[in-house]
Amino acid sequence: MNPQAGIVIDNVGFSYGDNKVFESVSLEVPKGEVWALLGRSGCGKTTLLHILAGIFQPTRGSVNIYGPNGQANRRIKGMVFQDDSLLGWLFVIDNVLFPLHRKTDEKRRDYAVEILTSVGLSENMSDYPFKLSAGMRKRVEFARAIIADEDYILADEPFGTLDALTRRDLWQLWNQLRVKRPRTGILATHDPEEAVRLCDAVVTMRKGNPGGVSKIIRIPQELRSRGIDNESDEIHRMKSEIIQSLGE
Amino acid sequence: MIKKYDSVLGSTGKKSTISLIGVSAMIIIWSILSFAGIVSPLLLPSPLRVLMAVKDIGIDLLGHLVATSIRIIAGYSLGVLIGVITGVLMQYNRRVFLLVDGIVETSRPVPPVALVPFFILWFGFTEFGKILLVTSGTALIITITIVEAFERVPASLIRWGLVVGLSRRELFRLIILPAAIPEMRAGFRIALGVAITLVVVSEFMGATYGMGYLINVSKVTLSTASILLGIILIGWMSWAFDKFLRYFFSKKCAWDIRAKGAML
Repeated sequence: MNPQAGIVIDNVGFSYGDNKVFESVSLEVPKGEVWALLGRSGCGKTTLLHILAGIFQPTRGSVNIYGPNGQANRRIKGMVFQDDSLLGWLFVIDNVLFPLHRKTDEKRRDYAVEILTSVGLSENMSDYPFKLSAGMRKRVEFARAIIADEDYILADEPFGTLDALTRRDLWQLWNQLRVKRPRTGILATHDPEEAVRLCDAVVTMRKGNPGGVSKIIRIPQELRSRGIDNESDEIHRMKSEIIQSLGE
Repeated sequence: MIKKYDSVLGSTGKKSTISLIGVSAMIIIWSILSFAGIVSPLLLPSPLRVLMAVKDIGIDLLGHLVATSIRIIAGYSLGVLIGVITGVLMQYNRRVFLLVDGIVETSRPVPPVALVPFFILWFGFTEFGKILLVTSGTALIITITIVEAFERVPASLIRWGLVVGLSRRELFRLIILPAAIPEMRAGFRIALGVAITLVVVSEFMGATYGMGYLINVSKVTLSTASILLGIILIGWMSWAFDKFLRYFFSKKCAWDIRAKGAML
């Protein structure tokens, strides 16, 4: 096994009853990298994320998520969704602390405050979620995913419902957080640009029979380090390569 | 957001002024109709005669009010307790749901008042029978309310609970229950209305104290002023109990944006 591997998906298939979502998916995401998952609706992006989060058991194959000491007996506990899933009756800070609900102490509270500050919400810790804008709520979701899992993150079209400007702000935040503390993860998205600007590689998925991975495209790291507003030919070239691969 | 709602509905101060105008208008029309002799005092006693009825009944009126209130509180609370337990069990365990759902769905269309003959047969004119009648009507509505409220909890919240790794019990206690409370408001208020109706009905069938008893006795002596007094007081009681429920839910659901518009 590759010691640099973070997430290893080996020959995984999944069916809902008779409905086969995908036959066999194999991926190996190295530690510290985030890969984008692109494909038409229904190709199984969300299902794959749910398998990694331990909500679904794969019908076949195996999933391994490696901890810092090489052990593989874990699942990913930090996830950001497209639809609003903040707990409305808890203050922002308590939403962020919720994943640790069994063991909350001063130290963890300080950590939550630190994370909320890093996502730009130091002023809103004692607000109910309904008081926040959509973009701010999404920031809270990122903060609580960060606290829920130290090393891994899953994101299921997290920017899908945001307006264009807010989306770009959050892209920037995403890249800042990655520089601060690299996490291994998978981002499901419909947007090729998002994939190019936020991820280390793009996996395009096929729908139907046989479904699964059709192509893996590496994204050069310089594209990210040049910032969210960088408009180079390279970015356009990558985008069109992804779109072409989706059509295949 | 709240500001916006306020500007649509008017501020709280304005709202109570408007309500007061409505009630005052009703009293004025009533006074004109009765004082001007447009309607016979027997058919519609004047406000003054209704006030005099308070004096005629005397301290007993307090006894009637207390008796009815206790029956409402006892019957409703017991109904809520049974309804909540049944509803929670139905949602927690699929077998309980299948077992109980048929009973709930077939007894739901039957007006609880139709049970009165059996309740008299089984329990006579006892206090127990009266409270049980109220409880049976309340429990049914609360059960359906709870089941529906739990079903409306957004799947995204439950999914987050699963990702975090909550156990089934924790998922229920920490996510489903708090998320469902705002959805229960309407059902609890409707059940309260039914409970009050059933208390009055049960007091009609036989009692020595209570607003229903007062109305029933006054019917025999044709003292319409006392009947009207009874009706007005039942209205005020319902209003007070409902106000308490709304206060309770507004406290519990301060976080729920949908509750803001309805909050008084």
